[in-house]
Amino acid sequence: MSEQEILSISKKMFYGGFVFLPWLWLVNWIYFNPVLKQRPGLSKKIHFYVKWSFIGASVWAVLLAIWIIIFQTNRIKWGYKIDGFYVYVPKG
Amino acid sequence: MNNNENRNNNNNNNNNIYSNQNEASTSTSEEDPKLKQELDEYIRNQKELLSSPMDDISQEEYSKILKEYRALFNLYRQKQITPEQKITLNEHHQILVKYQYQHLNPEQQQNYLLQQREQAKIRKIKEQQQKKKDMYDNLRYYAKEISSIIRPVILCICLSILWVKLTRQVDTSLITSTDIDIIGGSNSSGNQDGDEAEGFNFKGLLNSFLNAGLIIGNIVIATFVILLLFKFNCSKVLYGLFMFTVFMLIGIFGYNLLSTLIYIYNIPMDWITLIIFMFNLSIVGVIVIFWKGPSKIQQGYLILMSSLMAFSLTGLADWTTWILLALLACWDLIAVLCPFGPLKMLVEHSDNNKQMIPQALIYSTMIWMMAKDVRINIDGNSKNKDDGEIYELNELKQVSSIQIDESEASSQGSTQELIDSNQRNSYKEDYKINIKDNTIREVNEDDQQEEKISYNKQKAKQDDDDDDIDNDDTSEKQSLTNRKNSIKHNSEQQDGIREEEESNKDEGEDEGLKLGLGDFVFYSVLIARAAMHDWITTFACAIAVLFGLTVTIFLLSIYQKALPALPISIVFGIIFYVISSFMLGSLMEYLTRIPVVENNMKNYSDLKLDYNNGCSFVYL
Repeated sequence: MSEQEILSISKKMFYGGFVFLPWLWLVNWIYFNPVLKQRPGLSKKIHFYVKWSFIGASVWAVLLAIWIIIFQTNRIKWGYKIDGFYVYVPKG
Repeated sequence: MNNNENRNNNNNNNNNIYSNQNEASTSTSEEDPKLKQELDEYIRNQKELLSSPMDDISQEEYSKILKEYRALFNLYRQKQITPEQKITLNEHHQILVKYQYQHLNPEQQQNYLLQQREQAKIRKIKEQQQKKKDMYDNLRYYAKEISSIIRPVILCICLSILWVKLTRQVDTSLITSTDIDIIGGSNSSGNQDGDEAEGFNFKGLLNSFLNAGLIIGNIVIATFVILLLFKFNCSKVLYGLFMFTVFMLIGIFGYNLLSTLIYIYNIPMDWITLIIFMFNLSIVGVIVIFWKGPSKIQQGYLILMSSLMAFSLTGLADWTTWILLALLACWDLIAVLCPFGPLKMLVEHSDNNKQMIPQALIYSTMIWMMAKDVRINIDGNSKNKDDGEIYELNELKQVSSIQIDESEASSQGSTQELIDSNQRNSYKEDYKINIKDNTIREVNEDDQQEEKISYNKQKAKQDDDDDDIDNDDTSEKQSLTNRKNSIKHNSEQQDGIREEEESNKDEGEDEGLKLGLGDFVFYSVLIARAAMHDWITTFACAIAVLFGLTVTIFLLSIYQKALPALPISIVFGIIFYVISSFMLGSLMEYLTRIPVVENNMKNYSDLKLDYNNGCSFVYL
C-alpha cells in the first residue's frame, strides 16, 4: 500500500472511532502497527493516528471494565434497576 | 563455376539445415501406433508441402533470400525479432527448404524426411512428458491448496458446533457432571411447519418439503436478481444491498445467539454493555469486510457470519433442513454446471468484464478458478501472501466469479501488502474466499502474481491475485429464520463468496481456490444439525463433509473449471448422518452398557453411563 492510502485509511478509522467504536480503533492499531514497524520511513501523522487509536481503545476498555465491575457488584443493591438486566436472574 | 558454387552453397545450406535438425535419435522403443500415425501424417504433409511446385528462383534471388534468412535468424536467436519479421523469416525458411528439397535426389529426400520424422517424434514425446509433469505439478499444487482451504472450513464448522452445543438446553436430571459443554436438550424453536415429522408422518413430511421448497425458491430468485444487478452494473445497489445484509446478519443473528446464551447461562448483562458490544461488532464487521482491514479479521468475520447463519438455520424443522440441503445440492449442480445456470453466467460475466465481485460475497478461499493461472494463497508465511480466507457474507450469496481489477484490489491491501509495496514484492498471495453456496470454482489467473490460496475475503482483502481478477461471486442471500419469534429474514443466499485476498494476508488473488461463502454456510448447517444429537453423529458428519470437500477439490484439479462444492459433501453428510444417528448411537450405548446398581449410587461414586449424550460417556 502506498503511504497515501495508509494515511487516509488510518485517518478515517481514527475519526470513525469517535462514534462509540473502540473496536474500530483497535482494528486500526492492529492493521497498521506491523506496517509501521516494518516501514520506518512513514509520515509522522500515521504514527500519530495509530498511537492515539490504541490509546483511545484502551481508555474505552478501562471505562467499560469499570462500568461492568460497578454494575456486577452493585446490581443486587439496585433492586429497582432491573431494567438494566437482560436476563432473569433466578435469585432475584 | 557459379553453378558449382551455388550447388555447394545449396549443399552447405542443406547440410546446415540438416545439421540443425539432425538429432542422433534413433527410435529406441517401438512407437506406439497413435504416435506413429501422427508422425506419418506429419511426414506426409511435409512431403506434400515440399514437393509442391514452386517457381524457380535464380541464384541471386536465392542468395539474397538466404542472406535475409540468416539475418532474421540471428535476430530470432537474440529474441529481438518482431512479429512481422517472424513471418518473413518463416516464409524465407519455407522457400529455402523447398528449393533445396526439390534439388535433392530421391535418396536424399528420403533421408531428409526420415530426419524430420525423428525430430517430430522427439518433440512429441517431450510434449507428452511435459504434460504429465504439468499434471503432477498441478495435483501437487492442489494438494497444497487443500490444506489452506480446509482450515477456514474447519474453523467455521467448529464454531457452528460450539454454538449448537452451547445452546442445547440442559437435561439436568441425568447429568451429574458436566465435563463437556454439552447441554443436553433441544433448543429447536418452532418451525414453520408446525410439527416435527418423526418417522413417516406424511403430512408433516409434505409440509417440510413445501417449506424447503419455499426457501429454495427464494434462493433461486435471489440468485437471479443478483445476477441481473451484476450484469447491469448497478454496483451501488449491489454494494448497498450486501452491506445492509451483512450488517443485519451480524447484528440480528449475533444478537440472537448472544441473548440465547445469556438466557441459558443466567448471565447478568446490562443493556449498555450489550448494545455497545453488538454495535461495535456489526459496524466494524461491515467496515472490515467491505472496505479495508486486516485480512485475518476479515476472514474471522466471514467465518463468524457463516457460523451464525448456520446456527440460525438450525431453527428450522428437522426434515425441512434435510430436504433443503438435498434440494440445494441439486440446485448447486444445476446452477453451476448447466449452461443457463446463473452462477455460471455470473462467473463468466465477471471474468469477461473483469469486474470485481463484491468481496462480501466471496470468501477468498477461492475454489474459483476461472483462468489458467491458479493462484494459491497460502498462509502468509509459506508464500508471500498469507492465505486470507475471506469469508463473505454469511448470507448465502451467489457469487459470481469476478475479476478484480487491480486498482480495486490494491485498494484492499492487507498489511503484508503494505509492507510489500514498500519492498516491491510481488503480491504472492491473494486469496479470495469465495463463498458461494454451491460453487467451487477454479480461478486461474494469468497474473504474474504468485499463487495464492484463494481465500477470498471480502473486500477487505485485496486481491493481489491477479492482476487480477477478483472473482466475486455475488450470491444471493437468503436467510430464512424460523425462530419461534417467526421473524423471517430474507437474505440472499450466497452462492459463493469469493474473497480475494491479496498479499500475504488474506487477500489473495484470484488465483487460488475460491470457495463460495454459501458453501461454508451449508456445510455448517449440515453439521450443526448433526450436532444437535450426539457427538458421534457430529464427528461422523464433519468428517464426511470434509471428505466431500477434498474430493471436490481433487475433481477440480482434474477438470479445471468451476465446480459445485455442495453436492458431494452433502450426499456424504446425509448418508453418514442417517447411519450415525440411527445406528451408531445405539450401538455404542449397547456395547458400553454397564448395569447400574441404583441403590448404591448415592453412597459411592460409580461408573455411570449416560447415554443421553450419545457417546456413552462415563461419569464418575
